[in-house]
Amino acid sequence: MTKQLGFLHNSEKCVGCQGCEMACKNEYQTDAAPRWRQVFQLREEDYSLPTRMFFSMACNHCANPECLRVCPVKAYTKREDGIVVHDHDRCIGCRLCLMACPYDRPQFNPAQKKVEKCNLCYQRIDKGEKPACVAACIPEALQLVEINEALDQRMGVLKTLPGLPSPDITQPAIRFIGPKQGKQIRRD
Amino acid sequence: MYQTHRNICPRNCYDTCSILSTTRNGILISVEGDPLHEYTKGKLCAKALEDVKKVYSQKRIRYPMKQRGRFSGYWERISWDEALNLIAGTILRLREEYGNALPLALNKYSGNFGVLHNAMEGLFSGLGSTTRAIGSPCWSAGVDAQTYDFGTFFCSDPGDMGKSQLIWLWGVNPAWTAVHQMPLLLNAMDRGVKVVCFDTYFSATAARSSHFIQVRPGTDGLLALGFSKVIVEENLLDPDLASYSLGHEEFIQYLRRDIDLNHCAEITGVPVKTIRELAVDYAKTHPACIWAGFGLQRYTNGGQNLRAIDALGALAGHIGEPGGGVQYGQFKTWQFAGQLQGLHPKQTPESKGLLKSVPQDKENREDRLLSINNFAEQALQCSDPPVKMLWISGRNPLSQDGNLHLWKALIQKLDYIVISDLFHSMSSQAADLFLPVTTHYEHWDLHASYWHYWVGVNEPTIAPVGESRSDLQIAWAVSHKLNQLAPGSCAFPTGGEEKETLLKEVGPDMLEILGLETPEEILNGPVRARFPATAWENRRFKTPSGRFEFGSARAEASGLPAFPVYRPPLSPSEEFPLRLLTPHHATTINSQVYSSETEKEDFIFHLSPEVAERYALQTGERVLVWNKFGKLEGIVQIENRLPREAVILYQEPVKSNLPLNSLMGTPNTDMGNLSLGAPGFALNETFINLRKLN
Repeated sequence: MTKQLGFLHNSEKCVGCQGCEMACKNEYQTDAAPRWRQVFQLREEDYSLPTRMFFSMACNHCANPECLRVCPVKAYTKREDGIVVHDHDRCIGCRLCLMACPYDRPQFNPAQKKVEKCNLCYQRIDKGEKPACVAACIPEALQLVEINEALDQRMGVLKTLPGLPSPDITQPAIRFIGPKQGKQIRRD
Repeated sequence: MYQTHRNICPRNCYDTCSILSTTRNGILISVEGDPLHEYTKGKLCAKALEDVKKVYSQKRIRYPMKQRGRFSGYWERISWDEALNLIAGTILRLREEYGNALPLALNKYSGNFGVLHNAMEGLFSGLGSTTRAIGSPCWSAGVDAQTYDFGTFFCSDPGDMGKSQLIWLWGVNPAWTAVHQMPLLLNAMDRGVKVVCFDTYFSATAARSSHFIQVRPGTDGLLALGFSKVIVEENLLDPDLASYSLGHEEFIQYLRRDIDLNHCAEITGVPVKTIRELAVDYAKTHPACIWAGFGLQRYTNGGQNLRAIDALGALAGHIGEPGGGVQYGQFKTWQFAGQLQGLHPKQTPESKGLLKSVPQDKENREDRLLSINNFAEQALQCSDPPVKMLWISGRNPLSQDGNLHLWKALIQKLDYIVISDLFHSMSSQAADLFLPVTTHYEHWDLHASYWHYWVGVNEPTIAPVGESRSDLQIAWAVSHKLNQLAPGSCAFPTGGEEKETLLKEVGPDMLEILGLETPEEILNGPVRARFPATAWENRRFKTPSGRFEFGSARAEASGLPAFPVYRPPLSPSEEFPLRLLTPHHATTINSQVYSSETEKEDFIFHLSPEVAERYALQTGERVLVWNKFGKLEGIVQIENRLPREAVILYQEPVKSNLPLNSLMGTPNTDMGNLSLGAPGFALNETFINLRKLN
């Protein structure tokens, strides 16, 4: 593989507005329950940091996708650019991928009895556009990047956040810029 | 076949985004931001991105419905003709019985801020003198405060903040309520500009600011006076003050004489050392901007709080400075012609009362004006004649008002209640008749913002869903029916074209501020009003003296202090020792809820560890919260960095039959009468007690 597309999420800029989640839903008009992309609040106990810090996660388009490995009907394929695509027509809703994914990103749709997930807007990418979530992010906290050595050597770029599974399992195509703490004057 | 249309988000929000909506074969399939709009820059928030689901929601009411018995939930679909007959019949009967139209009341506010929604006011004006809700639940005290100080209420273009070398966010949480301002703030911090966030609790914006300063609720004015005192002591006053302000010597005397920093620190909770450092930084850094939010003026001393902040900005010479100022909001871009409401063409925008929800044309009518914040109480007191019919439009008072028991009493006294809305609400449960309205994808409209300078047209993207109609179409139809049953009984037009009506609202004043030749040009896309980017740049003010007024004779004439002096907020009692704060949440605007996935099972009461310890509570435990107005049950969540004397209950979507306003009375703010005809809702002056439930 020559290329691996992925996401870079900046918790310093993310305000937790869920615009990315809703932009995804607006693009694909998914049902209410499956959340291809989801905003999570960072746990306070993991940092000497304030609460109200967030990260946003969809499918991580892993280098070693467990979903693809366990799928009995080959509903998952990995493109040359690294995007892991889920073929909704092939899916039989067995949910093995849900069990295999360390990040809980394949989403079961109870109405359709099938799994669905983020396909990194590959149709938009093929047209030269940004994924819907990235295009919609108002504070530009979420970016589409190529995961490579140069990125990992950039100052402040993290491979994981406290509380997330080890990236060694599937080598997810997501990187983070962790939150930094401002000065607080409080009465205590 | 794909088609794209231009829309404007009509919600009561700073950002008033321009939207591009896409249809396929007449069905709305997606929405995105309009890149032509230089403030919202082609991006929408999560609330607007939910719009397709909202438009086609199964919960949306698609037909006129009548309820067999209020609160019964037995709704029956009826035809528009039957609905209009019921309304017109009631209007004519009441007007005949009482000899005038005062028994007919309209309670309308900000469910949709589109100008064509003023058709409801127009319809009521066409009926004669009626009863109206006036004022605002939102921002009245602050609007008056700035009107006393500057002469009118105006803010810089929000982009002007990009020039600031120091930004103070005072009681404002743009991360959740004005998200399009966040890139500017984040970029400023990247350039090394210090962003200081003052708030009562640790907000999402506070978490992203360079500094967070926790201020005890309702003491913002005193803190501003403390900063001013330091500026006086350190001799950092603007040397030009005498040339453009009035009363600064007296104000400085007051600071020297009456403001003690130790006392200020004790009351506000901000240490003296911090007050000194921040004040010096603010006075020495140019340009420095303050953005004051709405929460700090929702106290009984709310207007004084903002006047003190304005005075601080002036003392340090930041008023009129590009990248400076004290920003609060503006209404100068709302110079619509007012034809829909039947305004006299010779009235100026201010005498047209565009700030007020009921502009008065005294030549013809004398409406009975009730404060929107004390509506039920005042309506119950009306006896000659009593209020008998109520039309609720763009509002959900049974969720959003205080003293809800008075609403229950009022409902019992009313003959007829009509509500026009998209969905059922707590208020529709009380209605006799439900009229389904269109969303902003189904009608023409015209919008301005109270923050940025952009004005734009909303085009219909799709045909109305079901049998829904716009407020304008409803107003025409009611007038048509009235005139059919009793010719000459309503002066409002009986029909027309929405687009033409819209273009008539773009009168000479609006054309001038937008720099357009003809009204039709506004159809091409959003336009920015051609004001200078900096408010009060020439330091010529609209006050009676033409100066910035530290001392305001107008304030004094209204029974208020002439100067911005400290007035304490209400204090908790032994019985109800905790203040309840109810900030906006990112997923809602008041009772308008968008993100269905985030609906909570229960109210969540956010407590500081100190409060939790005092009541021996743990996260996840159930509590009963009560005061003399009502009670609510919910779950405790303990969080650091919350105020010690308050409980926070966000306005989040909750599956509950009771609104959080069950705990609210109707305390009034100190100001609001001057600009809006009624004081504001001091909803942060709510006190409660709580105990653990087993």
